[in-house]
Amino acid sequence: MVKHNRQNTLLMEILIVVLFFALCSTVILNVFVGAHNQSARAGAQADALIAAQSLADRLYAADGRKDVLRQSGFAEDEDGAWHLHCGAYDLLVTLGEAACPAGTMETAQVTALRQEKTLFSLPSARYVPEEVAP
Amino acid sequence: MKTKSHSISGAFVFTLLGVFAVFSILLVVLGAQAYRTTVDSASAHTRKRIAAAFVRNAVRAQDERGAIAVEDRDGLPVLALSSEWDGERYVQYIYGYQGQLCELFTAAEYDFAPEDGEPVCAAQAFEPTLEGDLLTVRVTDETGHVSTVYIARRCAQ
Repeated sequence: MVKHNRQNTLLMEILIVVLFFALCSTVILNVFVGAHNQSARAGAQADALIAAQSLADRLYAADGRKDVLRQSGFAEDEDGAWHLHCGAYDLLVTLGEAACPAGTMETAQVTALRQEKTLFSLPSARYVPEEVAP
Repeated sequence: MKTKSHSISGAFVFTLLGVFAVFSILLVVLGAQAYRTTVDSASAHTRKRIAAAFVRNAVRAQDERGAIAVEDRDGLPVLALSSEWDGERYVQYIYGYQGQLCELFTAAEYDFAPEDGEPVCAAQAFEPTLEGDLLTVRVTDETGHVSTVYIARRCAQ
């Protein structure tokens, strides 16, 4: 009887330990998934930043900005915004132009998105003076 | 009968212990794998970023009229960024040499010697090209991954 009770106690003890272990595993797996997602997000953000900086500079230096976007694989939507899906992130570019007294201010907004959430937005602007006849 | 019941109960306890041990090991292996993946991914992104950030910052810091040039020194493509300090002309050369991205800051009067440069990070190849106001730099890292960085000159030439 005493031996039987001792075994039951041991079984109960092990069951409690296993339950505690299962609880800890759930928490730890959750942390692993969180760390993995955070790392993927940071990686995507770093890649998107390099891509967005390069794109902003290409738009700054280009005469035909829409041609640059087309060459880079961007597609224009009905609102005039340009989209590119780059695997872990998406790039969205909106081009703008404002006439000034002696030229044109060309603006571009490069936005990086991941799972429809904005990672960052990078503005770019270039003043193009009007050509003056000599 | 009683003895048989006891032996099944004992076996169950040991099986439970075995399952516990197996799952413990599995969790440790899984954790190590997750940690390794995270660290590898972070270091790959850092590697990719270093060369791009270094070149971009160097160009931005020296973006003056006529200061940015791409030169060919004995078949070695070199990004030359010149600046003036106390009336003397200095040149910062950025180039790929012996599997490293190197930087050499020297007075313009001295000859360019690639072996004198300081290594910045590992890079199999460094190919700068300048077209109009757009500087294009292709960097191949030690894993063979090619990153292309575009930098627009803000200062008119």
